[in-house]
Amino acid sequence: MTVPVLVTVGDDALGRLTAVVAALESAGMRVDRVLPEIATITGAADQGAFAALRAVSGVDGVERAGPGFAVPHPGKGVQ
Amino acid sequence: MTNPEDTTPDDTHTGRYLVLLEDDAAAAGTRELNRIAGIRVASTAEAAATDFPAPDGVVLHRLGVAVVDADPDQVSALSRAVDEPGPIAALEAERRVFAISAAAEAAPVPEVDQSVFTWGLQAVGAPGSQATGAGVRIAVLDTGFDAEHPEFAGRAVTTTSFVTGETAADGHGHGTHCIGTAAGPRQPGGGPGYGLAYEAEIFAGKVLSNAGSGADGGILSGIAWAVSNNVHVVSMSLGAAVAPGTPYSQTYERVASRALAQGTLIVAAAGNESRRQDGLIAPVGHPANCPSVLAVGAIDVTGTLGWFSCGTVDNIGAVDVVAPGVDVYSSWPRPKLHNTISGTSMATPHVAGVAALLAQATGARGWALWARLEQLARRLALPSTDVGAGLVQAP
Repeated sequence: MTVPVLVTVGDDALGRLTAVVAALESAGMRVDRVLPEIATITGAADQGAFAALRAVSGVDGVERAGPGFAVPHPGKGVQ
Repeated sequence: MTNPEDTTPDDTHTGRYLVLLEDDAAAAGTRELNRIAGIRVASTAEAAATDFPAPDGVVLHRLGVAVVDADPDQVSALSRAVDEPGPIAALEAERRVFAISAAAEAAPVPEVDQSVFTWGLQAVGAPGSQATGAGVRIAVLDTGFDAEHPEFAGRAVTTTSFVTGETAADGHGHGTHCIGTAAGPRQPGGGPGYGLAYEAEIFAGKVLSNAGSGADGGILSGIAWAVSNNVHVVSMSLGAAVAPGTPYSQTYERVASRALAQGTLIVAAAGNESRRQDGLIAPVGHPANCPSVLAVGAIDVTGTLGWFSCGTVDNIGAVDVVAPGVDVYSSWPRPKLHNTISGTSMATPHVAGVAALLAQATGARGWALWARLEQLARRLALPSTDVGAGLVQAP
């Protein structure tokens, strides 16, 4: 099943972010956003591909993104 | 987790138990409780759970937690179920809460005249501070901002939307309210002053839609935008509830740690999932539960903890400080202009605004700014698990 994924990149690999992104795509990740300021790449991947993503040189961590955030309707309860 | 089978009612535990259910398994979990232990619980949403309506307990759907009475045989049955496949994930003794009864004497502002300044500004000592936030950049990642609000005329405001298909205009109200507290006016010209860092530069990043929802990708994009703009303080009145024992996000922890190293402090709402009137303290939510994100709880005008304010319930996720978060008056999109609402969402921009004042007054950034916030915070006669270092104070 394809799920949203968050990938963090090690400080030592920040200088070759483009290569890391390419390797992640080769390992099965669809990349949505590359955020060099916080060394993070967001996108989606099959859960079965997480191990391959973790094995990419320069990758620090791979984590499934959360289900989302919500604040209540403005007229309702505690915000 | 403590051994649930050893627990009897005492000073620290109620004698009741919290049963953690697997994700999206509240209904199946409710049936399983009855099947294996004969425990009957009411399937109400937690908003209606003012007291136990059923003999044995209640299920808190949004938390995926049941709070139940159980005798030793039932506890044994539940403990076995935890170790087996099925909807019951964990069992622990319910902790007793001391906050509300202990709070009365700690009132920082007993009688408050709000004709000049909101009670929140007074509680954090803003009226007596010389700091204005000038030269400091503060980002609020929320539902956007009404940049045409007349009380922000002439202010330096940068807006960006990270929500697909929506501009940065605030179609909800939550974002404009939070920006008002963090960086709105002290002398709006009608009604009380409600803004802390009233000369700070405002960065309004829309990461929650007009309907109030968002996802990790947009929020991380907003953080990256703030860091790239050399923003000093990021205020995030957003979060997702987590079940006790849930690990914090490694991604957000690394992101927050990196932001701190670059001089950007991230402040986030602890969450509103507690029901302290029922003795239930919910854990600090995501992403405030990350060690490098400053987690904010809420107090009211008497110094009592907000009944909804999340607490430190295990070794994951600590409340770091508290701020005013009950009946908070601030800006609201036109034509309404103002609104008074409650939540740890309202406490968070108080901390962000105080942080901006401190950043100006001391020059502190990142971890040093975090330390200054905690150093100056007024200690409260409440558990540190609920209030951390206490009530933030302007320099």
